[in-house]
Amino acid sequence: MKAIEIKNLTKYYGKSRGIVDLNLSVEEGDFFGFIGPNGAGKSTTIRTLLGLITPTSGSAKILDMDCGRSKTQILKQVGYMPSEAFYYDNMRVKDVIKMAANLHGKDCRKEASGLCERLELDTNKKIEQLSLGNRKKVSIVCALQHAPRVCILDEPTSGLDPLMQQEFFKILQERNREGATIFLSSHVLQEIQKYCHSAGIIREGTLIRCGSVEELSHSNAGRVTYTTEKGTESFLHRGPVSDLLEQLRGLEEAGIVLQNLTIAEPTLDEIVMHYYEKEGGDKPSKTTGEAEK
Amino acid sequence: MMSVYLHELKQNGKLLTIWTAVVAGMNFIIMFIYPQMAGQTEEVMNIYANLGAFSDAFGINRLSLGSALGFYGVEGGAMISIGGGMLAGLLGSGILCKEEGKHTAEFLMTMPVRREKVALQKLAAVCTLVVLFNLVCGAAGVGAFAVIEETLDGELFLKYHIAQLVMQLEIGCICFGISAFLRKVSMGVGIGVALIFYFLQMFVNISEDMEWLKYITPYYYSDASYILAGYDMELGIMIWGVLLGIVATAVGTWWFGRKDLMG
Repeated sequence: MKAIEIKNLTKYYGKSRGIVDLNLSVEEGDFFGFIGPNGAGKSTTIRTLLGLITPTSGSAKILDMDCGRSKTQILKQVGYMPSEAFYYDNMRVKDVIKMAANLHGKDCRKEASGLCERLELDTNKKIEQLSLGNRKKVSIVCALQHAPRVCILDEPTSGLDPLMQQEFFKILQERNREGATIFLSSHVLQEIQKYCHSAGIIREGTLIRCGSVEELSHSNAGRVTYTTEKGTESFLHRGPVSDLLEQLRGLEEAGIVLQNLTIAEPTLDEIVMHYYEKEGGDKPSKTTGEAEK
Repeated sequence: MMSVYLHELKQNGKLLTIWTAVVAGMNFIIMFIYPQMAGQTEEVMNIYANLGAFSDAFGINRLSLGSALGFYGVEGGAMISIGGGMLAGLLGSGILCKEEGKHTAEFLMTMPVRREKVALQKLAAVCTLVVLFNLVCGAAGVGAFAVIEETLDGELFLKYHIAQLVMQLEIGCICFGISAFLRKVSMGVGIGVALIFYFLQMFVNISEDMEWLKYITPYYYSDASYILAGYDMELGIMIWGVLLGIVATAVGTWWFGRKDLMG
């Protein structure tokens, strides 16, 4: 079954664009990374999935249920972590966590206390006393305590220290192994490369690339660095190696002597940056053989 | 599952406590002036009688300050009706939009509870808080009569307080309806609605041409100067007011159920 299935989803806020004709599907049990710059439409997509906003057209489904009509049924199976974790300032952490469990109609005390312990969260503090990182921890507990089948996490690691990030991903991996689908949006590409199985890249409201992280990272591209008498040059090459050789031969023919040459695997960062920078939303398949600085 | 209802009661407990202590306290204390004033009533009444439209506006032309209940209606009543109207307005106007304004909508509204259910639990909390306020204010009134050893016409007193409660609930419901269309809490809306209704009632009292406003302002059917002076209660207009409150509630709940939540 598909955990998430989005078809031709469009959302306009008045005249301003949210997302346009977005198509995306995530298999159940996947660990999916949703990558995109600010304003690309990540949060709009997530808000539509959660039924916070109604799409202008198109459809979104979670676990084969329509996000509009079956919203309440869906939300029973979903754990959501918003990008900015806001709660009621005058409440204590334990009361917020208990309220979330009550709204799910479940007794989650055991699970919640386990999560709080792992995340080193002081549940007696009031929300107003918490730093952003600690508020994030509250939202992790609220999102995971009821053992959801689908976890939707909007930029979950911002504000968490590196050790906590590691613990957080460990928890997510455990949940994923137990069968939960993880869908997370992030700017931090290293964490997507490290933890996600597949990923989608969104730009200007449209999904421009989607596939396994493996595929995306090895997308026929290489970071080429060469040294000549004049210094060191580096560029991202995508396309057949023969094209690259031809280009390098061109340098030699022009009288430039290569002293050193390395071709390294580009990071996901580089690939994504490449997509962001490109005008007009060209897909990589159309840019075969192209080399860019 | 009444989590949202209980949550709202707790969230607004402080506001209710302070507001009730001030209004009920003033309502109680002000009656202690009555025994001193009772001796000078005739003189005072003459002054009021010469104030023309001013005394019409406050209904002093109908209600005698010379009786304890009349004094209660004019002095304490004004506080309960303005204070209560503002409280109901404040509670109602913030109850739905505060989730967006304070960015907690992403927490509360992503829980598996229907939006309409959330809205109605919130409304139930507003109504409960308004009822509690009125119970304490009524008790303060009864207490004050006992302390100054004046006999209290229980029927008129009860009628008056019930009318006050209905009036405040109507304001609460109207502001609840407005709240669904707002994106953040604005104290001005709640207080403004209550004050506008209060002034509209003054216009009704002053000018016959403005009598039609009685169909709009709930201060008309809850006016102390009619009820405590023994006039028949305008039940028809009160029921009309209740209907307005129900319509506002229905519209607010419907819109809240379908609007895009941004916070």
